[in-house]
Amino acid sequence: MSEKIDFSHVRFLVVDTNRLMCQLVKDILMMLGCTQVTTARDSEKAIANLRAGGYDVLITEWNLKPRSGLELLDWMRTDGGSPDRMMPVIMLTANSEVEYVMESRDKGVTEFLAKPFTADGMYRRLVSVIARPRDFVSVKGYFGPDRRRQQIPFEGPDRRQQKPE
Amino acid sequence: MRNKPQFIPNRGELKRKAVNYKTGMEIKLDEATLKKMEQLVENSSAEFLSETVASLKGLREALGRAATEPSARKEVLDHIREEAFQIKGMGGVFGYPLLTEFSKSLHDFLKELEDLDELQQEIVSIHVDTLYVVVSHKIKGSGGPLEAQLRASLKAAVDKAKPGTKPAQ
Repeated sequence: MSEKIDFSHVRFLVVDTNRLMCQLVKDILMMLGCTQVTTARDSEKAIANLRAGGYDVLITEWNLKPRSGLELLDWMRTDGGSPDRMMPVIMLTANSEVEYVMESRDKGVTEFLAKPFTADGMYRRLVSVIARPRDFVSVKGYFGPDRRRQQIPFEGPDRRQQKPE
Repeated sequence: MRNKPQFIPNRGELKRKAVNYKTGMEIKLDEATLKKMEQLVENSSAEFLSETVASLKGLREALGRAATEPSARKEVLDHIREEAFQIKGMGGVFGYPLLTEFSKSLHDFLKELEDLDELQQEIVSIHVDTLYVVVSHKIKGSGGPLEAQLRASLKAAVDKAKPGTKPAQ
């Protein structure tokens, strides 16, 4: 038997200024079996929704107002009022150049998906955030998923298992 | 926050809630589901095209305003930048990679601008016309002779505005 994802248990918030894009992402998620998908067209509405609670995954465009999607991500990861600092966040954006990928990563994004995206690309990001959750790292200047994804065999002691001093 | 990294194990709540061996979608996307997802995108394609036509019409009107009202140029610039960004993100999703490519060219051209002088307005206008051609002919590919011709004419237009380029006599 192989692993499956029951999307009916996952609650999404999709944030994009573009109505058609919000609707398309929502349609795709519903087709996969989601039953709880909320959309928001600006970052303040998104924050109000997140504060109210009841979401498992945030999918956001970078280009938002009044706060950008990057600022929204930063708020999720670092603000005292964040409902869940470890919530998976997928940055789905037409800011597709590498500097945006790096900046998102350094603010703690879980997955980055550049527009225009493919259905397959979208699905793989969803699988990654739901079925392959990453540990988090807290260090001066960064709180977010462990940015090292490569699994390289290592013979020495696992210092990650040691308690911090 | 601390200098020494602290590793926090993922609670795995979402995985526990959603991942199982009985119900739901296979982790590896199967062909039938992929087709359904692509069909959903295809179903919205006509709506995307009609919204793009409306957007391009709006850009032409905005350019007309910029030409007659210099004080409106900044506002027009912001509007064009936003529309170019939207088309850049959407075109390829709906099977129009040229719309993405040409609106990216427009967005990149506008990126550092703070005003829209006459030459820059002309270059924006050429972009808008080129995007219209793609929409009106519903050009879905990106490698044919017409596509190459459109690409070359845009490049020539953008090159005209590069610093150090002498205006044609």
